[in-house]
Amino acid sequence: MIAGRLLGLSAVALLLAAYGFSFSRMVELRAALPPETRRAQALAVDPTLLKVASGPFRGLMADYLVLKASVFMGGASEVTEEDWEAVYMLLKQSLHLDPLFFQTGYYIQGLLSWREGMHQKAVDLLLYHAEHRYWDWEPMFYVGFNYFFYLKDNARAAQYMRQSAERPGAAMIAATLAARLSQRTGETLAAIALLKAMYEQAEEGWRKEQYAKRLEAHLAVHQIEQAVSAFQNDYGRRPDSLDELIEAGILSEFPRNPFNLPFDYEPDTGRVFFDQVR
Amino acid sequence: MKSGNIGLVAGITIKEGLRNRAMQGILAIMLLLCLVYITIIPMFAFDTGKVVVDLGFAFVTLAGLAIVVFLGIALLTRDIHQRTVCMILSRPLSRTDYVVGKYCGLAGTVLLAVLMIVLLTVVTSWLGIRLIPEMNPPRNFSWGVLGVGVLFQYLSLLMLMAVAFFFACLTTSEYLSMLFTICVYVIGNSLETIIDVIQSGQFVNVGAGYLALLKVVSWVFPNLSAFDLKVYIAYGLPLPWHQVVWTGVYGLLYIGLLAVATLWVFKRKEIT
Repeated sequence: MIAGRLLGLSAVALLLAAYGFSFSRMVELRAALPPETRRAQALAVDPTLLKVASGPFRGLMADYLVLKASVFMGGASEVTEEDWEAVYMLLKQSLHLDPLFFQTGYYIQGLLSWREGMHQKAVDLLLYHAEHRYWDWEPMFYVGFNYFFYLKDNARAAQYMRQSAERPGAAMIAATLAARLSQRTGETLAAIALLKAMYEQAEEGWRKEQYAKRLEAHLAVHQIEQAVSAFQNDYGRRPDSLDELIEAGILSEFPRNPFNLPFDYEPDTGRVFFDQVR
Repeated sequence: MKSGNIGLVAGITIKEGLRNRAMQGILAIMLLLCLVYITIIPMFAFDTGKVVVDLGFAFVTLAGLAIVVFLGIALLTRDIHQRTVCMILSRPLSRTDYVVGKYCGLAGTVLLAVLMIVLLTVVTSWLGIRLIPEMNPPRNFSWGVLGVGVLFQYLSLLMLMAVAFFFACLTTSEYLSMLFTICVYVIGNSLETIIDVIQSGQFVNVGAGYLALLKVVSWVFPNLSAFDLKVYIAYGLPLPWHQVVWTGVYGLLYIGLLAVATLWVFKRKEIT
């Protein structure tokens, strides 16, 4: 009886020891797997099909997919082109399952937008996200920023930055960048209109002050740009420098630049700037 | 139909349901799953309240589905197959009282389970918000909207339960009833999306006849996806009250119509 129990206990102890050994070996060997075996994996399934398949667990599936992408990117030592495509697919699927989830939008901006060859894909996804998340200025700001910084399309950048700035609670940078980009693309009046609206909506005193300063700078730029146009009408060419406007008597003096900087001028385009930043 | 008889059957069914080991097992698993929050939420940096809503409602759905499919159908079909129903019906109790009583009893059981899971989720979330810095309540969180969301989730389970009762009375097999109910659940949750996808014409092109057929089918199967209000709770979006009221009316009428069909089938069923 006792011998039987002892035998049973020994067998259990042996099994436990064998299990412990095999488990530690498995963990050890898996940790030593070459990096090429640790690849990002995404089902090559259209997000719409996933939407149908996940039914009431759509939101949960979106959480899982974005988590899968972020865990891979956080742990991967080497990321191949196939991995990038898989991560893109995971984020795209997650976004279509839940277009409002900011975590997905944030990862798209943080992971995909800077990647060569993925700028436009990231912007398309972010635009979809921004249109759904209508109360949030950030996704639209990312779209505008990506058009400006990666895709070098200032006109679209200005358009989306303006949309971002018009959303409730938008940071000042959205409005100031929108105004700057609008002016850069020849839409100084749009910049002025936006800053005027922002000035009127602002509640805090410091914010009003900042908008007022920007507004004054853009109004001054607009006044000089009109003078440049008048000069061109009179002389059939653009002035070589802004001083020519004074010499020709079109301007009696330059308007005040609230940033205490000399106005900058591009003779090739006729554009005027209140600082050196481009 | 006597309300006293219905109350009696309902009371017995609730006791039977709560005593059932399947029910206790389901609630124990849900308790463990609620603790999962604490480990999952810190993995997210934004919209953590939305993740809590997703997880919480997933637990409610899974538990409700398990109770309706495994417990609800079993309670009814076992009575019929083990001939217990003959003993019950030999008393001054009509078949209508029996079916309605069973339905109300199971509805009470599901309600208790749903309330327990919601309470567990709320308490776990409250603790999580206190203990985990990354965890935040959903944007524009409203107890009222949460209440409506839970009510609609419960209503969708009641609709599914009505379907389960109908199949339990119609078929002779417990497993067939379960299978049909699960099929209806899947169809009810996806049919609207399928019709939307077909109508958008982005992925598939089907004939107008097929689309019309799907639309006819959508009148027959319950549109369970309409009762999913998670997005309004998770993102604090304004609840479209007009739509909510009409969806609620639709759900109640669907249950009513299916109850009439179930009673019609059960009254003509030969039970010996």
